[in-house]
Amino acid sequence: MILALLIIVLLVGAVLCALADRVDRRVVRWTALIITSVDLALAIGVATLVSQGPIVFRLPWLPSWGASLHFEADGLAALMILLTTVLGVVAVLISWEEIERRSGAFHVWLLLLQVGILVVFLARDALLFYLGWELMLIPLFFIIGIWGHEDKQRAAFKFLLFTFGGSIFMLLALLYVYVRHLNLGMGGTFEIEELAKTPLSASEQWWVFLGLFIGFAVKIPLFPVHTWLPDAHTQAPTAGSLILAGVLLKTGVYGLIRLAIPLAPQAAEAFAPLIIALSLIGIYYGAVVAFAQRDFKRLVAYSSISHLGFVVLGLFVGNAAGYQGAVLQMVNHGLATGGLFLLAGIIQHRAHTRNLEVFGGLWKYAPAMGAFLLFFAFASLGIPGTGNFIGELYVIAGTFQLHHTLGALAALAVLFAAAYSLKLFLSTMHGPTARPWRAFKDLHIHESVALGILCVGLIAVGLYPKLVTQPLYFPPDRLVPTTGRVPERVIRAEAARGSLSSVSRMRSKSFSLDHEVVLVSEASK
Amino acid sequence: MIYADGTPMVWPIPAFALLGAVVIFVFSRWWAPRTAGKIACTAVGISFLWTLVVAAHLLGSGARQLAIHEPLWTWLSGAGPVDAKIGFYVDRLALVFAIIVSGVGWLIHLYSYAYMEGDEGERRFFGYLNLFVFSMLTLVMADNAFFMFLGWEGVGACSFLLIGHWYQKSENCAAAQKAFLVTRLGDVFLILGILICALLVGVDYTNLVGFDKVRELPQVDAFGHLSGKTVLLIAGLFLLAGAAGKSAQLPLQVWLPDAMAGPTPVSALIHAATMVTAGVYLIARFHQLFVQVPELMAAVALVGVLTAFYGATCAIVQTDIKRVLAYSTISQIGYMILGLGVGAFSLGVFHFFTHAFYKALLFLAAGTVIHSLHGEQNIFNMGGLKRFLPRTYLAFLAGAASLAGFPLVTAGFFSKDGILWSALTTQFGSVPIYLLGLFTALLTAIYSFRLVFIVFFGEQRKEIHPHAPSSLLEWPVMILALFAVVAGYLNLPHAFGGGAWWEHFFEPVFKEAEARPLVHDGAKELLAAGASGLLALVGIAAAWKLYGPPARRIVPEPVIAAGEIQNDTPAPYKSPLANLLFAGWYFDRLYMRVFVRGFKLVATLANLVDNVIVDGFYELVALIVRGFHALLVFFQNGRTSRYALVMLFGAVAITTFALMWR
Repeated sequence: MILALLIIVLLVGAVLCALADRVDRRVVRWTALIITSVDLALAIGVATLVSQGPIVFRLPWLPSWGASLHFEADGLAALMILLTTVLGVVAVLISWEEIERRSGAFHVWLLLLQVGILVVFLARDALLFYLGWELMLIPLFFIIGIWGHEDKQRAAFKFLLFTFGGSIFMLLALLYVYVRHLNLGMGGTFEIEELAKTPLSASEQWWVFLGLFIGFAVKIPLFPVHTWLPDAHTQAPTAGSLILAGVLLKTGVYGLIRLAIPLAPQAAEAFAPLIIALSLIGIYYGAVVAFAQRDFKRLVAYSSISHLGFVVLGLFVGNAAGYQGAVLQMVNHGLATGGLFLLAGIIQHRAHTRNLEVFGGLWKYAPAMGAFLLFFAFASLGIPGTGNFIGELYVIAGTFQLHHTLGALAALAVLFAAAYSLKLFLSTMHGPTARPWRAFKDLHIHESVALGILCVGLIAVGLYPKLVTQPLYFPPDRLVPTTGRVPERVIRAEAARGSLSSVSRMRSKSFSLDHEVVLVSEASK
Repeated sequence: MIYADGTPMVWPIPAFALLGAVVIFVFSRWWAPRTAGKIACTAVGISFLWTLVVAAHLLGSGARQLAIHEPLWTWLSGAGPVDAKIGFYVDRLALVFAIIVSGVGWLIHLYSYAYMEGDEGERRFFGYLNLFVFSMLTLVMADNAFFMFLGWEGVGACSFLLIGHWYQKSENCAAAQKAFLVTRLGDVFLILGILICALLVGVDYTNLVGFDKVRELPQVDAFGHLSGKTVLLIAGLFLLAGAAGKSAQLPLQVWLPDAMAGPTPVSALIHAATMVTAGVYLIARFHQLFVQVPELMAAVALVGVLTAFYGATCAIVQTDIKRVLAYSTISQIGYMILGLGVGAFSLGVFHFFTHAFYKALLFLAAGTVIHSLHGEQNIFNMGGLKRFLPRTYLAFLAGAASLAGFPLVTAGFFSKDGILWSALTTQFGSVPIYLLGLFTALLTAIYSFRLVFIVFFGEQRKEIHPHAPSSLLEWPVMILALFAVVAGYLNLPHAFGGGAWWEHFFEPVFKEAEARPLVHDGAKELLAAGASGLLALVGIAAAWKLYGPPARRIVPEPVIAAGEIQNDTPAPYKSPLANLLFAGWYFDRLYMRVFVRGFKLVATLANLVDNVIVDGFYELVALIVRGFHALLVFFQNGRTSRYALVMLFGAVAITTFALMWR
């Protein structure tokens, strides 16, 4: 029931926002804030409940086709809806001042966008999944097309055409599996779990996987189908960029995990080398092209391509380290890149430009903004203490287990991340002041709160990554690949310690902390 | 903060520094700027005091405890080899580093309090400084390599921020960026090295003893059937590369001279006493790995001695007082690495210990000089400062003497001589390495006293009226000067009638890994010490001859008249050799042309490819679709006349076609 509530609250909120628009802009904002906060509370509820087993909600929908409204949350889905709802609150906060025109409509679309995303994350029915998938497109199309920047309509169309084009292949693949399932006399059903049981030949799997992969790769986006992303990001209003980077791109990865790999597992394995190659290319390509950008938002957009490359790489190296790293990176990228897009919007709102070449020395005017940009830039380059480090480390470790050279290549990419992240920070905040920014104000309170939420999230994951990796084991071993090679240590720790005869361990019970005491052995005295 | 069994907790040591940073960052904007400095000094002071409490517990009379291991909570888990806790491990090695970091750090904090008065970014400065001390303490006190890496990157970030402290000058930003990127290149190798170690034995320091078992393995399956020894060699080289990045060793040394763009206390703390010695700590910490492979030890020793030589040759012609000291730091860390590479781990650490005092002192004294001359950094614009800054002069003299290795009375003599003696006599040492080290000692004496004679002796070369420094700028320097002289007696060798206390102190840490001299001959050891002492004296005499008041001209002579030289002059000397040394053997220029420009070119090209080819493809598709659209629009525009026309053409075409077919 709680899963249905998650969506109903948003739908009711959308209606309320539409009504509140007749009263005042402020009422709309507060309504949206309250609605998204309630949703966040519900998502936290889901995340805590999910440790006791999957939460299921099912209603009949189109029984003749075998489709039902089947929502189900396990650990991974809970994480994703938590990310979505957190960013939902942040998106409302950041649009507080920015959206002046047709505020009611904007918030309606914003809430509907989240509905689509939540449906995608929760659906266990392929048709429902597809419905949610297309439902995400329309609100974002309008958000970019109406509230975007100078070249908004072109960017909105490009976004729509790319993702819609991709999703046709996805639909075809799904329908093919559906028909096969039906023809084999196994009954017509869109239940993903049932569809996964369809015995497909290797070549059938190949085609099915290809279709699904094209759909998801466009969304992620993987090189070379990424070119809609920089345009969409650059033109979207801040909240749009935030949701786009923060969760929308993850739906592609999520689709790979939920649909593509379970429906065509052998093909997934066969495609793995190609996908690993594409994601490695994407990591470097995104990072290098990001460095060449002059537009703040374009730079961050290309960095997204690089980061998402890490996610897909982790997913396809096929071991527990890589998989956990991939999910960690999904969360961290949502928070860190989200933060950078917020700052891009905040700065653009004040300076009326995104051109990095005319900035410089902004720290003098806005030290708090500078501090946040510093934090998110460092998070983006993977400084330890933030979640990004953990995610990248896990992915690199997973890749390293698969193949040492590939692991080393993935590690070296971090250097390029440092190059563009530092460029972003230095050319904005440091250096000589290029222009006399008269009316350049530091952060408002709602902006600080929005950025602060993301900061706290990143540090929490950075110091206690189990927040993210623990839920992946709800239910245990359902999603974490167990087939991958998980190497034992060459020399076991216990064996090594055995030679340290002088170590004795003492635990003091009166304190919660444990400590070991290494005593001088008689021999060494 | 004490366990039930009387062991003091160790987490408060870094925690206080972190607390200081957080308080400054969050609250100090509502307080007077000076408050930030007070908070920072207090925080590090408490850290230092607590370090002393821990030290007293571990070293006090009757203490049977060698180390405190304090795991706090699980950090990385469930991902194969990546498995680590957040936790602290303080053994004697970590303790020595922690004492230097918090102790010397505290003195430098006090100095900075006076030095940074009235600076625009005072609050920010002290916040970063505290954050740095926290990160550095984490680096040396972590109980596993992954957590150490957190501190390792943290100090890098703080270094970046503090080099760029005066952020409105573009060259400072460039220097900061360069420092971060070059060290990060090393860090990439470091993390790969750590990953290999994680796969082999795990990253907890208590597991590192397992490396000797790895060496025995004929093949390690996880690494494509390489032999255990080869895997260890690769891992060790990666760690060495990481150390070279952070500790400014060849070939990644280029960032350190530029890093002097930061405020002088930063140069003293980060770029002389503590952060740049992280590589020394790393190698000392992983000594169980390094001693397994003789080739690896040779590589370490070679990097060390070559860097020592490189740094000394460059230092000898620099014109900026801070750049002289920067190159000297590169050179001295080279000695430390050399010490580690020849197996004298405790002596390498000992040189770190003495160097921290005398180099911090030299930087702080240089800072006082710069401060009193209103920002003048060029030594050829100084001169005769002995009269104006007598206490600073004495302190600087003590530091320079220690750096030069003035025999018997300075700490630098004993620590450097120990390394050279080991380079000659341990199983990893060799005569060429020893001779190069010895020659470098001569150069060291020359360049350190070149500074003393040019800056403090002779006539004032430029009309500058120095003002007297405040007492807080002087007494931390005096304390450091004291240690720069006496710290050497901690390890008075047996040949000098001492007990080599330091080496015994580290026996539980390095155990049998520490290479003992193969020659046990007190007379020979005295002879070697005499040789290096004599060389130091010769060097000082040569410096007096070349740069002292009697010298008529400065050799090698600058092209531009002394007093007119600007710091950014690319080639101030007549002699091409001097200019080569001045420019750091042109490493910087080479890297700039090959890597930096190359990367920028690639980035521009990639951007072009993305816009024109990749996106162009989709644009082309869109264009073709639009072409069809235009075509159809022509046929179907809703006008009868157009339809009639099309029908006519169609009829004609079909008829023609039908006729021709027949």
